[in-house]
Amino acid sequence: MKIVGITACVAGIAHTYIAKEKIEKAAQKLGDTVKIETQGSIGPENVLTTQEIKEADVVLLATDIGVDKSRFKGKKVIAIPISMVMKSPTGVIKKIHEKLEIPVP
Amino acid sequence: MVESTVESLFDPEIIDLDIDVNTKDEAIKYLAKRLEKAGYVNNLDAYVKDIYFRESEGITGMGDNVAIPHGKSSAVVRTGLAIGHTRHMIPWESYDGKPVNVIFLFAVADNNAGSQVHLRLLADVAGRLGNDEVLEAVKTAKTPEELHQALFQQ
Repeated sequence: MKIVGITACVAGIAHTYIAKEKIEKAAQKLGDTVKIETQGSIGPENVLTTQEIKEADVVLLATDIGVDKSRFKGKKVIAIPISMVMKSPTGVIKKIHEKLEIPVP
Repeated sequence: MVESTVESLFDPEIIDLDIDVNTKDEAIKYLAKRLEKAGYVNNLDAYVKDIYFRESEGITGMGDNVAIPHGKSSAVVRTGLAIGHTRHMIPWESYDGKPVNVIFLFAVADNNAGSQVHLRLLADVAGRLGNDEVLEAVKTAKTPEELHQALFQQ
């Protein structure tokens, strides 16, 4: 499965970046391709390209602040608070597999 | 340039791996004082107040006995990362409900000019803490040297 997503927390200092790492590690462990854009206090990094968004099976928004969703029109978007990623990154990825009915390989 | 590498954040002067405190408040104030003593913070009370402001916005206990309190404050004159390992587990609001014995206290300057580079470095350290293997090595580090290795050499 191809996952793209955004992480963004209130302060934009720490959680944004921890969550990115946790999502990437969990998704890779389950055999998924993943790219996460961070929207922190230093501005957007690892920005998703139009092509990447187009090819993705799902968009994961792990954000505690509002982010612009217009890029993801027509895509399957799953929006969760960042705390869910902090608590159980693997659980989040597994849940996405369930929702999309794509079994974990 | 040394200043622009993530390892430049690592300062043994603001690292204490054997802190004898029993509460979250004692731990925060102890590490904040270390930051003040080492010249990162010029107004202890104001800095601590800003840390608690961030605490009021959401949980900083990231699970696995690790906490990442951070204060963005005008009292911060130099961006830094104080690291503490407490002798006892202390109660701390956390995502897994567990207490904490490893604390990363971020000191972030409030002005935007010139702080972008440092914020990038803090983001890099935060990202490393999202990696379970790094976190495990960080938690078992007994000396600043071991901690340095855990954070930067994996």
